Amino acid sequence: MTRIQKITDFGASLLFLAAAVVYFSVWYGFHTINLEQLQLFEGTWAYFAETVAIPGGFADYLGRFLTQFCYYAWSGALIIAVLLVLIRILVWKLCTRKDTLIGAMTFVPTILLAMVMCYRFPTLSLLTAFALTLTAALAVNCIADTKPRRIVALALIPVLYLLLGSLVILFAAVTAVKERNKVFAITTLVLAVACPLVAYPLLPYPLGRLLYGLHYYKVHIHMPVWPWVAALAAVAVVAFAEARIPSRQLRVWPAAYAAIFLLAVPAILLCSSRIDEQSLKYNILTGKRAWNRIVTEATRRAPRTYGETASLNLALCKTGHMGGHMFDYLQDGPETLLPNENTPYQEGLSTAEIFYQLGMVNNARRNCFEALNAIPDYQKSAPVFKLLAETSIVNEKYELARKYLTALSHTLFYKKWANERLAKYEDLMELMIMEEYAMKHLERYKGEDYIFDYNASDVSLRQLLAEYPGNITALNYLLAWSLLNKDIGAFMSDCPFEGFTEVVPKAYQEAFLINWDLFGGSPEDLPQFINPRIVSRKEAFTRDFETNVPMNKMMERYGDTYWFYYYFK
Amino acid sequence: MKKRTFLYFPLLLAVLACTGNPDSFEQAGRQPDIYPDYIGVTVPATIAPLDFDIEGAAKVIAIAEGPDGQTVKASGKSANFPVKAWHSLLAASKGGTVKVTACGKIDGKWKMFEPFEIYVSEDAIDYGIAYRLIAPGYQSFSHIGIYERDLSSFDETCLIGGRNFDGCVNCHAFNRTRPEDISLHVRGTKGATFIRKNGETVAYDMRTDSTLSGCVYPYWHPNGRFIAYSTNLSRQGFHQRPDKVLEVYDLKSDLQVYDTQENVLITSPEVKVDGVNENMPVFSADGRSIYFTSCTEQEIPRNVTEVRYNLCRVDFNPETGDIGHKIDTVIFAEAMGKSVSFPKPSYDGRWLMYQLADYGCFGAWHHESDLWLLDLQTGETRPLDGVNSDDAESAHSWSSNSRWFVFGSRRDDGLYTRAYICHIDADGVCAKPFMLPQKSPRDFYDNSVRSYNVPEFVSGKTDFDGNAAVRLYNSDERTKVGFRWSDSSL
Repeated sequence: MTRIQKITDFGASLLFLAAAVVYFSVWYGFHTINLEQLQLFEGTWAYFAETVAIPGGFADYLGRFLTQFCYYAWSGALIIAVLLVLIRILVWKLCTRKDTLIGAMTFVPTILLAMVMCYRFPTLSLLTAFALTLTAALAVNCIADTKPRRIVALALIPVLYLLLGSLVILFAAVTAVKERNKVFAITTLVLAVACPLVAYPLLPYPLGRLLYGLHYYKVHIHMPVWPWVAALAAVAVVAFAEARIPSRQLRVWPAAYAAIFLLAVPAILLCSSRIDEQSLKYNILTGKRAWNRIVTEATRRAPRTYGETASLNLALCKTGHMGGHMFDYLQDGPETLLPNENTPYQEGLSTAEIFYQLGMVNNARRNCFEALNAIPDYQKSAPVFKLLAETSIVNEKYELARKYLTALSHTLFYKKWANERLAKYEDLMELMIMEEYAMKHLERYKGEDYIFDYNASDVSLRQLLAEYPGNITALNYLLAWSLLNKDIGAFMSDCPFEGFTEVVPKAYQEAFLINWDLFGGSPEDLPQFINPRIVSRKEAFTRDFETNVPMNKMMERYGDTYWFYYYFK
Repeated sequence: MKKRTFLYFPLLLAVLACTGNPDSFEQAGRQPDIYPDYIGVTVPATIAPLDFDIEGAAKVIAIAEGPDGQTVKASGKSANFPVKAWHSLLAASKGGTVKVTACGKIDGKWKMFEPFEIYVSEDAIDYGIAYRLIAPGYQSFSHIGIYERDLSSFDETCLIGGRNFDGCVNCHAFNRTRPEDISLHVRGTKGATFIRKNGETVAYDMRTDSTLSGCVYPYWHPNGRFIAYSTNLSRQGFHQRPDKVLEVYDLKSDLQVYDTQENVLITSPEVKVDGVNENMPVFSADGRSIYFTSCTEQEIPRNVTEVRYNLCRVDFNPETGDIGHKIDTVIFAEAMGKSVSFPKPSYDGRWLMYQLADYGCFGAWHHESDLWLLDLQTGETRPLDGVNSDDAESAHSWSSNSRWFVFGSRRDDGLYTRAYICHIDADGVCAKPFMLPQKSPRDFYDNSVRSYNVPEFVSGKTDFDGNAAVRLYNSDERTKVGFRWSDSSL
């Protein structure tokens, strides 16, 4: 390769690295963070021993270790990008013939792996296993003498299977290609394929999963085919580079890279889901209690599902804007306030958070467990454990809280938080007065027992208020519940119009005016807390409504009002 | 006690010297606060080492000494005794006492504690226990499996579930601990009842037009031909008070017996009464009676706290499978304001153990749920005071010689059920139960987020081919069962 070609190749790697960092941190950042949310990496010997005990365990351990850093989207994205580029470099290093075409082709396995990383449940373990497999192949290739090299390669196969999993087949195939010996090739491939077959009767896993690799994707069914297409592509590139084809120094060398990159963009976009990204965004931000950020994000892109709107409503409530602004966003029945049992379990954390903030601690715990059960590879989840610890503290289940806090104390990013609480564990009173636990302890429901009925959530909310009238979240939710159910009578009887120290929230005034109209009240007798501008707008709304102005026009003019929800939803 | 400490002092000092540990420590003047609480428990001679941790201790040194002076030592973060030496010690200590002296490094200082005793029973225990491991979850589930644990070691084997398929397995039952005969249920779209008998596993579709639903709560007849089941329309609800969690309740339930020979479900009008829920049937030790729980149907969930099950009995003909007509109320729990669940007669025919809670059919989620013992000779019944805790005790089962029982208890942390084993002598006197031993138990149980559900003794390895069962589950191969009414002439 000429110097310019080398620079171009280096530049292509750099460009890919930068693009991947930007993509996985900015465009797809919540997918990256979600990787971390679905595990609880403990820096303990027991965790290490448990993880490495099964084929591929070492690569999985390494992958999980790196996944911790997905706590921040930028660091997670950087790790993903570096691993992807590293894999590309390793394939390149394994290529005997190095020209621009080969250089461009070495990006293919990397792009295929990047596609997998855009799915909902990928693992970094796939990338670590891939990179380590290629490193092993490269290391073996460095042994100069043929016989020792082949002996080492054969001896390494079972070891690599135990450490890295079934991608050992990639190692065998690459080594076989490099050796150019049919007997050796057949032996290595048979040995590599035999590893999962031998493990099958010894391990409680179906053969399909052992062959695919236990940790290369979190979900056990409908696994993407791309990891193995990437492995095949890597072998094909190395084989192509190995073939004794006269090297043609293509004059169109930048075109080869450009073509690969141009194909990569739609392929990666095809595997990506903006819908999932938005859903994860709301779930994760709710778990992190980033209320202002949720409101900002909702202003940029409106929530789309019940779960997302429920997260937004909680954020509005926690920032004091529920009554004022909830109808600025599309509401669709009480499910947009309190998710019901049909909510996807993946959104369990945000659902749990809603119940926790209300003081319905049992419901919060229940949804925490549903969220844990929704993790496809049965790992624990640090944010869910965090909420379980908090609910245990609020419920005075200190032994249980200790269990979750101890697990969190073994992690990198939750250690400080957990240790602060464990330090106060000896003095439970001190623990209880921490942060908001004292308030949550007051707000939680502890009255007469009853079985929760979603359709009678208003009863539960009223009981929470009866227990502790200072539970503002419960009051807001009770009023919103009535509004979303169009139960103006209940709203009127629950709303403390005279109790607002500042202005009565807009939606409440709008609901008041509906009630006022229903009972034929005169505008002159309207109470002081009703803003005249809202009255004028209501009059305009009534005029338009009675003259059958089309719904889209009505939405344009009054989409942010409770009246529109009341009459058109 | 001080004298005993003095006696152990030189021995412990020798160990400390050998382990390169301290040459000075202070007397704690009390027994150690150990986890699990093995102080004063009674164990079988073949049990796995009772490894323990001392609360707050970074390091532990312990010596267990038998009546003949044989000792076993353990040191490290936990007191993990070597398995072989432990078994040798216990074998030599049958009918006697093992004394354990422990030393813990707490806040940088070594403390020596007063010794405690472990009683080694002469009564043998079965090979192992089988249980379901399940994470708390109410609608979704994951990582559920039925496992077998060798009680003499820490070896655990997954029989079905776990990581090899995503179904929900439940209701496992063996015939009087015999590992050959198994009934278990797999829920899901391809749900089936698996019965292994004479080495062959068959997947059944137990639903018929004449019965409510599938088969639940199995119990084998001693002759191995019949299996008693209830059939339930179950629901669950979620309590709102923080001291309560979940309520499992039945809208309806009936009693039925499956005849493995004739492939029919048998029931009678007396145990399939409208307005009455019959539940959790079990055969008596002689196989001539069925004990079951029964309650008047209530409006659910409104009156869930009014659901109270009594313990009843009905005749059973082990030759024909017919069910009698006369229902006897054995324990009128309703009058006590209580509710009976999970009756289990001992295999020697002397006792019947059951759960008693304030209401409901599923005491496992009731903190007040306790184990009670009914003397089938005298009719006297009493709570197992030394066995019960402040939290839920549930799902007990007897060893084949009826000298041990295993049960689940949430006493550890109020949520995750752990398996406890308890000795009971011929007069029904129970010893202090002990938690299923684990290596480095604090770490093990802290790390475990699954409950030990329905532990059952097995007298040998079950050798259940989970992968074959999963293949059977995934196939559409289901054996339909017939239905007949019980002969009215019984």
